[in-house]
Amino acid sequence: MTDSAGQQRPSLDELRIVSLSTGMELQYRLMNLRAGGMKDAEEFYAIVDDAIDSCVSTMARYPKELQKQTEDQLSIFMIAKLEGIGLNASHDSTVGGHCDIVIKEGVDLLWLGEAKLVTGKQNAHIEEGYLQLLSRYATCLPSQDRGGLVIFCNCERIDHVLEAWIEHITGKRANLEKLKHDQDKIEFFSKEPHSKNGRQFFVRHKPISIFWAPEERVKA
Amino acid sequence: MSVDASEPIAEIDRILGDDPACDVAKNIAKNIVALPPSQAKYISYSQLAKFGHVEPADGRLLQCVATLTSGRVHLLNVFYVYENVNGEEYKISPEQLQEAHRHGFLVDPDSGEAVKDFRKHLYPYFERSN
Repeated sequence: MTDSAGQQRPSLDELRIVSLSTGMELQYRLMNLRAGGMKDAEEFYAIVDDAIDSCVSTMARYPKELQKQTEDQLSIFMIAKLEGIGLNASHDSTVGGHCDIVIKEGVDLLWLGEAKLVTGKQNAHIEEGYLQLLSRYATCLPSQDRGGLVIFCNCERIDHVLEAWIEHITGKRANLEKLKHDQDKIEFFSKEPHSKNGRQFFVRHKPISIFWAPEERVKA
Repeated sequence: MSVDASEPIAEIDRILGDDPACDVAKNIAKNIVALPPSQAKYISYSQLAKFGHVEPADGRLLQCVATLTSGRVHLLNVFYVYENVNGEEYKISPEQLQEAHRHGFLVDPDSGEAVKDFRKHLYPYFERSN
């Protein structure tokens, strides 16, 4: 098919194939979301989840550099990666305070992320982030009812950090419902009725390792 | 309408930095802002490729579209055009597109028939945002 200037124009189907072969699938899906008027909350959240997975992959490659970063610097690094994908990600001071990571699309779609840096099983510190996300920043309106708790771990065994966190938060929050603990991707999903309106707020709890301590061979 | 390129280009530089798509996006932006209003409402994907000096099948172009249609740069709005078997073209509304994705078929605006392989008949187009 050609456009008005007589040039070959790719169909959506052809661009989908291009996106798969060039690693631009998220960008292709963003184009679809925007052409659809930015109303599909499920697809928006799916794109955000996949974009965060992409950030995790990138961050895993640079533990030596990231280990020296502060909590804010790590959040900003993540925001830059999310923006690089094409998302409207920012460190926003207008969503009930200073939410670490805000991703907006159009008028309605909103995902909020709170980030905490730990050097071990520091559940009280992580809990501060969870409560900030839930009670300070989240509106929990339709299409604004999902968020993420990003736990930057400058320590060994993020799986152990997550397990301890799950035990801690489920013991403290009577209304929190465990949804899924993925031990392969090392992440946990929960929901809890929001105090503002009783709607469920869904949280992805995602530890990210920035630990770098290469072992050296012990000489006999 | 006169559009200033400096603001979107500064944002593109900030967002894409040393990404291989950065120069492509900036070339597209410069050409988009220079278009007269009458030509800025119906820009094809191939035109974007030409503006960016890349082939339409170049993955960097999808990166550029994601950046140029994002709220931060917001130089372009994207919409889809459906071309039926008779070669007639129809601009598809966001609601029609949502329905098509939800139900797995697009209703041909002319014949009323369900088009299951609608993605083969949809073409992305762009308009400059105000």
